Amino acid sequence: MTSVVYSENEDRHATPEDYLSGGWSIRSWLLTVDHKRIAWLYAVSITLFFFFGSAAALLMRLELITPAGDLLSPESYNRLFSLHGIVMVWFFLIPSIPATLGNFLLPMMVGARDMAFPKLNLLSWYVYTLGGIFTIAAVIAGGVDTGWTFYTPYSTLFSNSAVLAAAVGVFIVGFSSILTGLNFVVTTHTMRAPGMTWGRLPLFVWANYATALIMVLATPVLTVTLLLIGLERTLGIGIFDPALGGDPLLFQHLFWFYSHPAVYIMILPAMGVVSEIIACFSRNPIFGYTGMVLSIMAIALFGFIVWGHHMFVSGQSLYAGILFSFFTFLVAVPSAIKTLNWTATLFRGRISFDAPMIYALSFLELFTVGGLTGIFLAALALDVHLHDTYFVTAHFHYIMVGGAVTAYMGGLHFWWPKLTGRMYSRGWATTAALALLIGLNLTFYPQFLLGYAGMPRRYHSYPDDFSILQVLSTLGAGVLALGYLLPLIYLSWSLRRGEKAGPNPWDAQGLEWQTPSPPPVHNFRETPEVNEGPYAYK
Amino acid sequence: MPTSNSGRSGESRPEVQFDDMEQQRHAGLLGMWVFLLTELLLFGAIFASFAILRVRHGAVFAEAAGHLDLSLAAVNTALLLSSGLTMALAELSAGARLRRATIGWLQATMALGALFLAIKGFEWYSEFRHQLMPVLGLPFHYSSALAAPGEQPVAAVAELFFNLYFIATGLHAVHMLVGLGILAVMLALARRWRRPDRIDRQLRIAGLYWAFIDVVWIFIFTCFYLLRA
Amino acid sequence: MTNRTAVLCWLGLLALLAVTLLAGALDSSALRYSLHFLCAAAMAALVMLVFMRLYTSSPLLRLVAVGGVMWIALLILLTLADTLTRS
Repeated sequence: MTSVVYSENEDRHATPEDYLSGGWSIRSWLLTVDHKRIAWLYAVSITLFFFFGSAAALLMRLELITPAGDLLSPESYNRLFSLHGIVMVWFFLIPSIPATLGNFLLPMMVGARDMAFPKLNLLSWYVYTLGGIFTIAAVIAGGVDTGWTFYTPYSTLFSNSAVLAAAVGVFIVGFSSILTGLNFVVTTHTMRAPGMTWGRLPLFVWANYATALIMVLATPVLTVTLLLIGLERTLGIGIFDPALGGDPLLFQHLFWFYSHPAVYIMILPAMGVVSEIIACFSRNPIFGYTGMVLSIMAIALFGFIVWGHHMFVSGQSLYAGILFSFFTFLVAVPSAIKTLNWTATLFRGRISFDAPMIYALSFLELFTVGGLTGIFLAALALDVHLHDTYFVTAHFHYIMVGGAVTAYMGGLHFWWPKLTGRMYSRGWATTAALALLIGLNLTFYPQFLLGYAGMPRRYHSYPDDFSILQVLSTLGAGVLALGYLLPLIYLSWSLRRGEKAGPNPWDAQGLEWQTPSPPPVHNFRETPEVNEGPYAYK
Repeated sequence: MPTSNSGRSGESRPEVQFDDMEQQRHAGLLGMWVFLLTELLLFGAIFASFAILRVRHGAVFAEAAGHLDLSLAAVNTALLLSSGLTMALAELSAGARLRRATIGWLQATMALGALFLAIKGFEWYSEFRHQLMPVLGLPFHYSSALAAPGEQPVAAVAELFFNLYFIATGLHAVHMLVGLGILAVMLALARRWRRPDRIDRQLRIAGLYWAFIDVVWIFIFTCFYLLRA
Repeated sequence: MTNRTAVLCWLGLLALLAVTLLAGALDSSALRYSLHFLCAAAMAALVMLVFMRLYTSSPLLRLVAVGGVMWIALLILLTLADTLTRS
């Protein structure tokens, strides 16, 4: 696949040391511009926030074991689910795959030495951290009780919680997203190696590229919306206050214009990961590459015209509702195409059930359930009944946790030997993957039934009849926790004690696997020249 | 590891992640355009808010627009458009490697930009004097020829117009200040004239930003000042 | 872009500014508003094509510019779709 192409930039006499052995000082980490190290900076940060957000969820699920609101006051519960949402969405899911695996692998997969703007890359992590600090400050100040959605006029006129601090935190972290997206777009367009045409790019690159486009187009709207909340709350400008001529629904339009595409920011990279894993562990090229690419771009595009489906019962016009409902049905089509293509890839493959593959196959089940239940919610009449119930909660958790987090774990397990030069315990990894699959279904499936039976979301107490389903859900959460804690342990353990991994332990296709594990500082000794497509599995 | 980025001929060497200068130039321009895309969506949210509220409160907004100083804004618009010209001429001078011309046109651009901000500041001050600046919790005194149309008093809706006006022009002014900062840096670099090819590249990128701020102002001017009763 | 095209562009911009200001004297508000927006669009186009060099840029950069305009139009139009059809 590669041939020697020298670039004048490279010192051809130096032996490239790997990117990790170049130093362990604080300076070498905090002032790095190497995309691989920046990926690790992000990985550590998002893991911390993940456990922070999970702690909130754990408390919530403990409360929900019993029908009465006996563990927490209603106000505390409100603050917990708001914290859970804000932290998980903006400080875990949005950055997760792009800022860790994407940062590490994108330049390598296109055959580049680094991102187009390495310093901006580092800046994006510092901005993320600053946003995180503000959000933690908000939590210390008592948290917010508006939900992660900050709906007006409650957030602007009535809430007595740390709305401003939280809004500032999210405002800041948005810029991190924008910088990452900008870097990905420019890198993908301008830094592909000779011969790496768009049609030869791995789907992981396409997925992160589409994600980056969404980041760049949607996030600025959120930025201004949060600014407007802040101004409304402090100066009473009236833009969302009906008594002053404002429109609370305007907030929802602006908020969801970002937040719906945001969910595609969360799922598209996951789909990219799944494509890479399924191809490798079925030893087949991905079925229907062109269809997959078109579907990725279609999801990114259509994702921008469906936001009103969050507002069917909020007072939005019926005609707008019909339009949004129609487009929402449409956006399911490319997702379905992708799911069918992944399944077709498995056909006549030589499938091995290593941990990454278990995660990828789990994704197929979980994403399908989550995706199909989205269709229920897209139907106007059904949504009237299901809106703000546990059905919605179950739907998006199947996709976010069952889809995005599962794929993130799968990607982590797939590329771990490349990132670290070490292999983890296969037995423990399989156990963790199965725990995740079982835990996810056990936690969230009962929630569909709860929602359909009428249990509202964001409530901390409920009628006795719902008890058994809530208990099952909490039990599932316990199993799920195992699925998260185990990898934390054995992956960390492998850093020192794991078996050393070669350049390509899975015998996978892709430029990143052509380098040593861990890769050298500038990835490639010589700029690779590409002369065949991706997924050349036989 | 090379410590300086200029080769023997005085031409720049690309940064380590790029293969050649052409790739770096291309990436720089695309990077700025993508950044401007985010800026467009940023102001876009404000314009969207304005559009929605304008549709809901057409009569009051149209009348309120009449209270803004159109002549001052028209002068300001002309100034900003002219600064776009001087910036373009600065870019062209740098491209032709003319140091004195580059410096001169950059200074002209900064002067026009500063004048714009000064006039804007004066305009805000006079609005404050006439008690039409509700933003900072200040008293709002509004007289209207309209009868109270809907559930909200006319003064409240007019206040909404002025708040949006201050937010839009305020955000624009912040961007102008950043632009002036960038120009100041470019001016210092132009004075030293150490790496003319680099100055040429960076001025092109800075010029994109400056021109974009111009475009945003054109629409702020149209939406807030011109849509009168 | 040459010095000449830059100056011509500037003159064109000032002319359009004059037109939009003069249009303010018309009676029909529909006509007035349409003219205002048309002039604004024309001014923006001139700045983008000449000063921002889109006229001589690669198709990719033009796509970015067009894409941006389309996206902001999407935001405004779809949101208005709700406001205008609420009963």
